[in-house]
Amino acid sequence: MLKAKKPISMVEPDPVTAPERRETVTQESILLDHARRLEDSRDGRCAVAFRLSGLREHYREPYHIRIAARAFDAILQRHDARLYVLSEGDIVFIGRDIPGNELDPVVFKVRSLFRGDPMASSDDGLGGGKFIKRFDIERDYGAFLGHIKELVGARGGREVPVSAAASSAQAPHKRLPRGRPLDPELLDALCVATGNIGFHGLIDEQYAIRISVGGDGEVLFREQYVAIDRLGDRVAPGVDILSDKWLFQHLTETLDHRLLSHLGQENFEEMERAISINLNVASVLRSPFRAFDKAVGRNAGKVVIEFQQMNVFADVGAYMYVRDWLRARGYRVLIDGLNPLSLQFFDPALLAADYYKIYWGEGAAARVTARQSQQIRDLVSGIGRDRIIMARIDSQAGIEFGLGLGLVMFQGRYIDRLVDEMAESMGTAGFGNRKGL
Amino acid sequence: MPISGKPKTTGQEGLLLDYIQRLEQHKKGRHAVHIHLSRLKPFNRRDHHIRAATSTFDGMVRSLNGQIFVLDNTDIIVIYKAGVQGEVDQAIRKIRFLFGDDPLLAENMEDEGVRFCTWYKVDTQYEELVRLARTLVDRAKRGSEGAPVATPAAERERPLTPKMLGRVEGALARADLDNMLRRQYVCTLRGNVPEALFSELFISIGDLRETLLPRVNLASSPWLFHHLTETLDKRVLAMLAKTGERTITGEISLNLNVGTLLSPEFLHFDDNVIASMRGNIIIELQKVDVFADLDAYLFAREFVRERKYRICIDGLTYLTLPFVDRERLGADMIKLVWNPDILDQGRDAIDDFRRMVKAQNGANTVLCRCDNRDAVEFGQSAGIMMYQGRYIEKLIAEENRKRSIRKRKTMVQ
Repeated sequence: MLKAKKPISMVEPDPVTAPERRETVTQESILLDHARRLEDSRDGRCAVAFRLSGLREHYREPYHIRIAARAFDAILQRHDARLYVLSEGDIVFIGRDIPGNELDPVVFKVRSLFRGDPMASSDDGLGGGKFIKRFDIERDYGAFLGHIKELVGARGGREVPVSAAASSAQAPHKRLPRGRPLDPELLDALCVATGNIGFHGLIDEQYAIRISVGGDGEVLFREQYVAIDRLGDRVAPGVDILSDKWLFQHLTETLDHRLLSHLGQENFEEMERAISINLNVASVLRSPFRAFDKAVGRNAGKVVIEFQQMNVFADVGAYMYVRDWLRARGYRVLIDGLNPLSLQFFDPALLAADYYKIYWGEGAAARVTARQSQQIRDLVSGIGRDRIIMARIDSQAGIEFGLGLGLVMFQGRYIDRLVDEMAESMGTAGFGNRKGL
Repeated sequence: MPISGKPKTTGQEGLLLDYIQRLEQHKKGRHAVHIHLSRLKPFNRRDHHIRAATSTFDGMVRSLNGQIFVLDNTDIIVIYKAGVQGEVDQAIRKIRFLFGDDPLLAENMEDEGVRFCTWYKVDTQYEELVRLARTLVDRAKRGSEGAPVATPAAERERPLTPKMLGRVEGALARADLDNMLRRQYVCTLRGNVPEALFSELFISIGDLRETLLPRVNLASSPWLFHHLTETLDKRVLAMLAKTGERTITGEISLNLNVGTLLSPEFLHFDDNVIASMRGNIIIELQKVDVFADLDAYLFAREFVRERKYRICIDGLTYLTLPFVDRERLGADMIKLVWNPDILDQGRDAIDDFRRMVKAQNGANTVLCRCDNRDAVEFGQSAGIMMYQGRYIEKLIAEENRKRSIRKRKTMVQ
């Protein structure tokens, strides 16, 4: 019987200095142990399990876990109870004689924290849903133990290395951290390195296509982008360059310059298919863009400039100025980084761009609420299907989902595969090979 | 666009004077506008923005409808034929876009209330223009003789680099910020009498810059600046958590980042918030922060509101107001930044803006940077209920004076 007077401490270890340790004891093993011991002391016991590991990517940052767990502070202080945070982020609460009117509000509070996620928002909180499971251990110990075994079973009885990131109630990041977090000093070295290294092999491309009524595809443009992981390996091995979005954004300004000078060497006259590049709004006002513009000459119609939503909102005035300036020269402008959630909060059409790129997560259909789907349909009728690109398509299901919403333009790994396959079957007469211009 | 590298006496100022003198026989049908870019706070002047501003007039210059002079101090003077007034207006509008919406940097203009542009009719204000040109030439000459003059501060300044940022953030950890903590009241107005609703506590970025980053152009990287504000947040929270004896009475507002709300430092602050402050704290968030990660914002909002904090979305302007639906975003209030330039933009623009503002609920809207009566008049015509700024501080001071006089009178009696 474990009595917790204080909330389980959630000290954040310093990821730079704390080494990886191999431990046989994990939160999972302690939980399983506890669950087993309850067989003989079931009186008044109850449990609630939250499947945070099942949430969309967006909701799996360490702070989500930390804050969700905090919701239990008061209960943990007042009652005989314990909270487990498993390595995948799932949270299990086990308590004794907890009044319903104390536990219920906490359960609903946790649910409402995650209500942006379809799985959480559609859960009634009473235990029958996918996100929240509730157990009356006294009455049905078997169901409880079975669930715990399932939760822990995914990890098995095998040893789980308790890394600095995974221990002490920290859930893994939605992307595994690739080393030390980025800080200003490291950024400084990175900017210098990025300015100097060769860029061969660092630029990837991805196709955006338009699907016509007959099911044929037509290439809209090829997005040229820097492969961040490879860049990281080349200039800063051991550093997680995406760990701080503001510092990373600063780095992108150097990346913009390099990308522009690299692409400025293309022959735009002979370029058959349009390209797109992601830039900072401010980069368009600087001299590397001037040089690029010169190289593009009268072929601006073959170039689409993409701006991240976050960048645009940092200075809407500058965006509008730059947008008009680019358009006057024949470039097309695209707003990147929108997701179904953004659409609930503002009307992107106010940005008056040529295209809008909207992301879904994986398993798209399951991850969008009915309301968001309707929002997208509304956007399609408002802005037009010829302006909206659904991105990060990694399966046929994604395309079908998009088509169902009235969308016809797509981009993603799966699209690249389609393009490659079509090129193969049609020879060079169709899409042409992907890497060539 | 030469700024440096030419002898001052034959610089743009000299050319301007020359041109104006030659216009004596051709005054009719010409106008001039003096765009005061130099009045922007030094750290808001970015070289590439300034170059871009100049290039908006390229078309007009090429078609021989106007002449543009870029002064030593980055001001721009355009002399043009009345027939292209529309083009000039449009160009100025574009330039305002470039400089008008900078939410991260507290103040855009050196002196609040000063306009961005001064307009002239060459035929009726010829003498004035000649005098202006002569003054500018003198000033430029003095500059060439080594006397202190307003050379573009952007040139004297260094850009904020990651290395500097690292040093500053280190210094912040040790610095005593007590002296930089300022307070400004947000009030409703009954006639001219202000009633304080809450006060905003903030670290003056100007002070910070002078102390820790002298002559550094913070605008050179908005991203690094934003990172700096996150560090600043945590220091402010730590300061306030220790408040204890210090009496911060009444409701307060704090500028914080979404990232900070999700950090352990905020949890620590929240744990230590003294009972009397619980429920009396408003958190001001910048819109760039909200839109940078809406998921994180929503999550943070859910979390802090449950703990009785209120949320205010700060830094909105006529450009960005259309994007913000306060109710949908679940914010308790919004803060609109007053910019006197709106009054220069014509009846239609003002009416549009007023309509936009009215559509938001005035009871939940604060108009800040109210530097004079104009701001309040506009605000009242648009239904805004809450005001903040130098003018409001003045009204408060006056009211306090009156009160102490009344008190003395009653005491004497």
